[in-house]
Amino acid sequence: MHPDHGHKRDEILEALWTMAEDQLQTRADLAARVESTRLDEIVAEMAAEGEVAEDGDKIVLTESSRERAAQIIRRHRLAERLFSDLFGLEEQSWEASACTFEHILDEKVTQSVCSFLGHPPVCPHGKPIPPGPCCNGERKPIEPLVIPLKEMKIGQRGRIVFITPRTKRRLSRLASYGVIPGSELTLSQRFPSYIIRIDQTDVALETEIAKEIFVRVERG
Amino acid sequence: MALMAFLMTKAALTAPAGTQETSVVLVGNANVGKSVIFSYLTGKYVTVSNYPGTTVEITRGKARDLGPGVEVIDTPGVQSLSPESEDERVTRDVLLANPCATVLLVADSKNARRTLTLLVSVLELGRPVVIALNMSDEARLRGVTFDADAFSGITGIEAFPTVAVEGRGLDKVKRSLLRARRCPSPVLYPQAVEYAIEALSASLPQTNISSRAVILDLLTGESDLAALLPESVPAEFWTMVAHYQEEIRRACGRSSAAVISGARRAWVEQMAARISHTNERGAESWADRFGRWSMHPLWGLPILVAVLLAVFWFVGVFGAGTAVNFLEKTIFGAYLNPWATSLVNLVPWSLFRDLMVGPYGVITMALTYAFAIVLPVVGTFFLAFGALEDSGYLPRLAVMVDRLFRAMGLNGRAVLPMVLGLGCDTMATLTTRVLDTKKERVIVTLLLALGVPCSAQMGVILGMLSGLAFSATIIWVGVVLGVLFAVGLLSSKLLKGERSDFILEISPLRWPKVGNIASKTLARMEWYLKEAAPLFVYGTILLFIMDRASLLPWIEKASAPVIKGLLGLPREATQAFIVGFLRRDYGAAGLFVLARDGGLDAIQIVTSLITITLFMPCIANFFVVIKEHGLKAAILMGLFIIPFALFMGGAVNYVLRGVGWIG
Repeated sequence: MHPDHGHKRDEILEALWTMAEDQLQTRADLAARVESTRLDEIVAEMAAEGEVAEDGDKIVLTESSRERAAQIIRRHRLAERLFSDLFGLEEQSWEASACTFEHILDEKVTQSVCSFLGHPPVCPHGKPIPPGPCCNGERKPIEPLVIPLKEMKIGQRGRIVFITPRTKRRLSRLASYGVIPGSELTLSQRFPSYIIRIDQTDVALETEIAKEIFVRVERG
Repeated sequence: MALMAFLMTKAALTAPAGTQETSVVLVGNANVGKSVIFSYLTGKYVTVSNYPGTTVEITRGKARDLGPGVEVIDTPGVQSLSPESEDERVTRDVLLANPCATVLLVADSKNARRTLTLLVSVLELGRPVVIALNMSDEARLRGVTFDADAFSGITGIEAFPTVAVEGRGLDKVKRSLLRARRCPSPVLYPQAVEYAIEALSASLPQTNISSRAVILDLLTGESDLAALLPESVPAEFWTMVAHYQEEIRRACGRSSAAVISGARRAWVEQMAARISHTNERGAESWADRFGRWSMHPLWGLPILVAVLLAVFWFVGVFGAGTAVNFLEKTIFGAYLNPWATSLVNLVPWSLFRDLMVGPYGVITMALTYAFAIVLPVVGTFFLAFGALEDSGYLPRLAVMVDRLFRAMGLNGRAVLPMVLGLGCDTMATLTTRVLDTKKERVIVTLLLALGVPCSAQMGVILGMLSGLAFSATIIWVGVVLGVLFAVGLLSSKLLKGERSDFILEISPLRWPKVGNIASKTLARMEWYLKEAAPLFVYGTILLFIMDRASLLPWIEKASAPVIKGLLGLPREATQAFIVGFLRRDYGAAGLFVLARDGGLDAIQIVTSLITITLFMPCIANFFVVIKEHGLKAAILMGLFIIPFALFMGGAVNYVLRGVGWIG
């Protein structure tokens, strides 16, 4: 393998993953996403090693490379979440860093970041983040700092970090009650409905919505 | 309605400036007291309650003491002016259609952020604003201060603490309305946004609305104002809008919508930090504690039962028992009817005498039913409902029933129309508009028509049940609730569409104000009597004609297989079902009299009650269903309800006889 091809290969796997999300699979689509003068050469190399499957003009991930692509995507999108939600950076300043991070994060750090963020299901652009072993509750290495509202204890206070609503309408309705990233809330009840207090307003929410609001809880 | 608003708005946008009359528009979050202040400014009564979303339509009135020709407009509660919901669209359109109006922002003093968020939207429209910091007593109790003087000093907008239900502070607000001036929006946008506004306003034709407001709205890319702008807007304008959206994105690294809302939010946060302070809350007040218990999965249930029993006692025992007895026996029986009879007997025509005071007489039957049986029951229900509404218990009830309602394709928010249906199904069908999706509105309308007995009917029903063993009440409640749940479940599966989210503000518990409950009850009773009393008279005349034409015995005979065979009821009960077509409560009142005179045994009472509860709604309700959902839907509902009610009645009859229940 050519020594420079490592990063490019990761990029190609990543591109094939996002192409699959957008239901694209031609060589031209790939060329539009990966900048390289030696693209054909690298793809041929990967095909020979069983990392991609070629069929005429179509290029897709193989069974064996799909897992690796998922890991790259997972690292990239977790990094995006980290930069945008926790540090509040703007997209232009973190997009490049996220691309760097996807190559250097090892599995253990990735899991810590994922737990820290409360196992977020989607990236800031709304694309799904492939779950890792930490997300299935198989092990809980550290207590996450950012958890869904659903996991909060009664009486706990916290600050909303991000919201992943299923519809835009839901987001704006939440916003109108002051349920927006940055707001501080206290959970006062979990059943039959979740009841939160923001400033002096009590709002009742159904469980579905409580799953989509991610909160950084106050310690102690 | 929506079309009207659209046309009005379009007219306002394209009309030359300065042609509108002066007016005051009340704007505010839900449940902050806009309607109380509206009543104060106009002297006109509107229904006021402690439940978000009571005002579903705009109300207009002439202002007192604000100068000649000044109109006051009350709007539904909103969170912002970006039209996310029907209420917000209505409110925004009112503002657009009245470009010269002064805005009276009614605020909840406890919630500075929400108040300021709404204020920003209003200021962007370039309107003169006065703020009523309402419910300042509650804010003080909770240790929240809103520094009105500091706020006015910074923004130049006058704000006054008020307690609207007690009339405190409102005179200052009124005086301030006369001198309110426009002030520019205080929000600082990034350079790129300001530049875009400047560049775009050159190509936007002058309208009645500040072009700054229109452009900011268009730049968010979520605007629906485009359809309202005059045709003279050149096509290049829209290309420019898209171009500047992209410019802003490039300069700020976020979408233009995020940049604009971010700038507004920043101002709100900054201002809130300067003028609003919260002291550490002392001991939780009793109202807070009780409010919490009433939603508790465990303690909430006994409280729910206690509330229901209290209403049952007040309406069923006091209203339908004591009050009805007094009115019917003493007032009508001993005084009014004998007087009326002796008076009418002076008239020589026997036909007229019979029509007035005969067995199917307008006075002896229709007016006696309406005023002696139905009125005390409806009155006591509306008193109880008013107290519940004002106390703030209803949103808590919504929380308690949310999970149950979800199985029926609804959510807890549907509890308001359902409980109001216990007062009057017609009124309740109109309020189904507060529900978000068409599917929810159809299901609630069907359930109201099918199985929610209105208060008059309910009072009569409870009056009849109270004479029987408690098991009779259990059977009636069980069958009706079971049917409601089963039909809800089934229709949620059959009807297409989605259920909406359950997101509901829980208003604080408050002691209901006696004056407010009284005026609310009076207004509702007046509405009810205007709606019901004429139908009682028509129903009686119908019966009178049928009796004269000897149709009654014929119908009684023809329907005998159903009434006697299936339901096991005496022939006389047929009349109750005939007039039940006009009003269910009138039908129930007929059964009431029949039962009290010993004409029905326990099984017959339970059977007839279940049948009439599930039976067709009254004519008025039917018309409202047509109005809201169309003739086809109304007829389909009727075709389902009538056979189904008879079938359920028959089933209950046979089962109870089968098991040998004696009551």
